[in-house]
Amino acid sequence: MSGAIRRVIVLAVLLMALLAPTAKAGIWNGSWWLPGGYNGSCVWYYYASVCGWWSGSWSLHQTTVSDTGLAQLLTGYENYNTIRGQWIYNGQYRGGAPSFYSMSGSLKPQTTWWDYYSAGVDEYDSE
Amino acid sequence: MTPNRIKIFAVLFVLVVGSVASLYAFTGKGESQRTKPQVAVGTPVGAALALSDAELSFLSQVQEGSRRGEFSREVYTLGVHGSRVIYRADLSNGGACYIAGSPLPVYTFGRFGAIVCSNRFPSDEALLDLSVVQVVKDGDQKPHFVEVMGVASSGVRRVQAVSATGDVVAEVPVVNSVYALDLPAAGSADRIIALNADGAEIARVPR
Repeated sequence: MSGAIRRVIVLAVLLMALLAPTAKAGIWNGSWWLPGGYNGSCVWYYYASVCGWWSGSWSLHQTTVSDTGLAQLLTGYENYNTIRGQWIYNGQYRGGAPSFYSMSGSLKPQTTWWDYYSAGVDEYDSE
Repeated sequence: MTPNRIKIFAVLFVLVVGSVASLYAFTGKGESQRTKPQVAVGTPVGAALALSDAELSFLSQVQEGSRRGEFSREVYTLGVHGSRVIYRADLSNGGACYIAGSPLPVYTFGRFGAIVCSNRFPSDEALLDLSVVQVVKDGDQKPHFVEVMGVASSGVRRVQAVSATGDVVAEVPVVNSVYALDLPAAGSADRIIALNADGAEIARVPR
């Protein structure tokens, strides 16, 4: 194999390695059990919440709460001063855009356990 | 037939009957025999919406994120209140999700702002609320409603917004399964209460 071809292959591999994490970085996706399974990323109620990272580009925050139980959670977005969102209960799925909540700038998508029983939450958010 | 054969037949009979009964219960076929509350979920106002690319993208993302099956691509208006509209998006499997939005394409996803789907509404829950709640650090750091809207089952006749002290700050009738009301001020209500025809409370948010 000539040196030129080898350099091209190395460059291609480097380029792919650089591009792959960028593509995945736009999705915040995971499952947690609240309140105990918090991910520590939230500004507010970090001990009972799950949050994505700071971004001004979130398009849709999607939350699904486990089917059985009587849990009560608040799902939406937060910044350093404000949380805006909706109450969500077992057996529900909710999705909301920041513009619906009249929120802009750098935000974290968040879901906070609020009352009653623990619950499993699935988060799927895209930037 | 010998007693041993009779015993074997008896055991086999019990096993077969038991298995069929278990399968029947597990597949949920027995559920359909139970009478579920009959409730309305709103009659579409006008024809199905012609959806923009942004709105189709919204439904596509919801389909992926919610894992509730495919949308039938038919979305109807259920009710309009000022700058807010409640839409119903039908699922191919017969279910429905409800969207809070605007009559104009003012959001990232056109007219669609937020969506809710529930396994329990309308059969086991009276309200499917789409209101917006706010918590402010410089305030009392408690959740207060800044906008009130949602979908109600047919047993709900009126919806009240109630302050932290228990005062009714606004009240509206449910029209075509939809409620939406103007608060005297953003944050003036802490609770939403659903009333039946007798004026009795049958549901509340938060619970």
